[in-house]
Amino acid sequence: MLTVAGLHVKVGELTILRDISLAVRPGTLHAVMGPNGSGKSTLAYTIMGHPRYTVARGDIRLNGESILGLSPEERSLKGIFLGLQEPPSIPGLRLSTFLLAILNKRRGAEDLTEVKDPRILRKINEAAKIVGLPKEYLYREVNVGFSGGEKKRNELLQVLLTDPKVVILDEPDSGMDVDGVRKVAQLVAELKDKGKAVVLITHYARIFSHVEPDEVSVLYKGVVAARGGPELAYKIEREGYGFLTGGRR
Amino acid sequence: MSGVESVPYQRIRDSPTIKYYTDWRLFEEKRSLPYEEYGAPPPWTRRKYDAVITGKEIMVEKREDVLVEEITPGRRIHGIWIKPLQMLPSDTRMSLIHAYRWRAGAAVMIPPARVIQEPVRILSVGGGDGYAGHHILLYLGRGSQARVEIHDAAPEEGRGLKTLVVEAMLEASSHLELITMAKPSASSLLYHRKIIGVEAGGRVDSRSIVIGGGFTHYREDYELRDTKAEVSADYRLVSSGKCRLDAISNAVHKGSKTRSIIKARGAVMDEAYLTHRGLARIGREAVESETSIDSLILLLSRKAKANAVPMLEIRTSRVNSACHAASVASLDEDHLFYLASRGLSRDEATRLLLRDLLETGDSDVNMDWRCM
Repeated sequence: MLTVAGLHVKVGELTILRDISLAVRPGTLHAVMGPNGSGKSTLAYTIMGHPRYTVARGDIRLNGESILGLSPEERSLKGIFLGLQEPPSIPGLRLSTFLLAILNKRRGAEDLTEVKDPRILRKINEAAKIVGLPKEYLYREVNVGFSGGEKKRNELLQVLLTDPKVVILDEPDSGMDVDGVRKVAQLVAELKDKGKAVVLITHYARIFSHVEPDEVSVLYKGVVAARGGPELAYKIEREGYGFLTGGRR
Repeated sequence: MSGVESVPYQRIRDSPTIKYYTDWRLFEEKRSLPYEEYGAPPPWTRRKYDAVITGKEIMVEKREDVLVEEITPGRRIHGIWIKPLQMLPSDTRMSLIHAYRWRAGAAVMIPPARVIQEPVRILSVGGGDGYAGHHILLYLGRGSQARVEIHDAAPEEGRGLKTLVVEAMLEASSHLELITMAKPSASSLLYHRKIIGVEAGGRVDSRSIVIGGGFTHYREDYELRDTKAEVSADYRLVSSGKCRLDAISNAVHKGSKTRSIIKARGAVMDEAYLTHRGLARIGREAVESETSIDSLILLLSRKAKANAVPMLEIRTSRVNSACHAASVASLDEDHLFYLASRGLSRDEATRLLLRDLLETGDSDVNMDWRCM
């Protein structure tokens, strides 16, 4: 279970998030919604341990254990996965090498690029097929020349391969066509079924017509401005975020 | 060395730009160092070599299938196959200094129509505590094929200067696979120059792995002299610590339907410096020729500096294709965070990048490179 308790986050002297609390249980989907600039991505980055963000107060716990003192790589190896809204391109590094390395790291291999078991390659190929990323993309440099949708598919491919306990997806539906959104929703549903705690960050509720959230938190100006069940997401889909400000935005 | 002062270190025609990317003052300071007698090979030079050149000495292992011989300045051997030096001593000041000062060298001759199965391996060690000048001549007879590997090394703690010039002549329809691995020490200077002429239908596949030293000037000049001569030159360049590396590849197309492919991949880290300059010059007679220059350098730290400078100079309107691409990209905090968020530490991420960037399609070369 992922627990965020009374979290205050700063960038330099500027406070971005105030008193954020939420709990995501295994096998559930927690939607974090909010207008642009409300602090959704900051929350995701902070949970993953990005050095730009400083936790001024509060705690983040995974299965009851604080992870604040852990580096991003340690958080990843503990089972937290953050699928970025805008994953960077990494020229010079082949996607296949990268995927092999993150899999090998999890099995404690010394040489991160060794292929001891050919099944590992089959696993990568199968996962690529599931998320709809053409096989030839595996031999290209990470995200170089990928479209927005292809980058998102690559993030989902990594979710499937690393089998994390907590999956945070930052706007996985942006840049996706209708079929792509349906595919993301299907994968999210499968992750829930497998007992993963899923946090889905989004502006829009369109993805929730395919997979229903268990809980919804709405961020506005760095605080949790509303909480509820799926009905809150549908309200936002119908009325927008005006209700947070009494119609003034 | 009379007349040296009147020759410049670099001529405008040598480079796509008139800027000096090599700090020639460093070479000037060391150009009169006394000769070094012996340079201890560093551990990465672990192959069985056909010729070992160190200091002013050379040791040659005789082979049945190929002629490998010692050469010294002014001595003519096998006049029928050693053509006059293609490099004019007055070319640049460093080539003039080399022409005056080199003392040890090797010649490799591949007879016409001979296909050599076992690579010819040459080790050149110098730049320890003084000056070492080495010269290598390669000759491939008509229709011959060979793989030549040159390991250009310096003693580990070296602070001296080394010049190594390789001149190669490929007769018609011959094929040379040329592998160069160059690693001077972190404080030594290296002037490494290749001048390669290719006749009709001849082909060079060259792969260079160069790890920058105190300052390394690594230059290759290819002259595609006649119809359908080809060169494919692939560079893997690394500069770390306070090393500085200036790599240049020039392809001059003289024959029609000639082809040059220049590809460079580099990584620069810490406070190091790395430049790759690529120039393809297609002359008036070189109709229906093709060229491409592709250069990518990764900056792996904030204090590292890099330049990628490609240039095409085309003097005919009948060109099949001519393209260039160059980029200097950096790995910033967001890249490193992304890799860390997948469980990879900064060191692992850097190693991974270097490995992918620098691996070649040749497993032997990859094995040597990992030892460097």
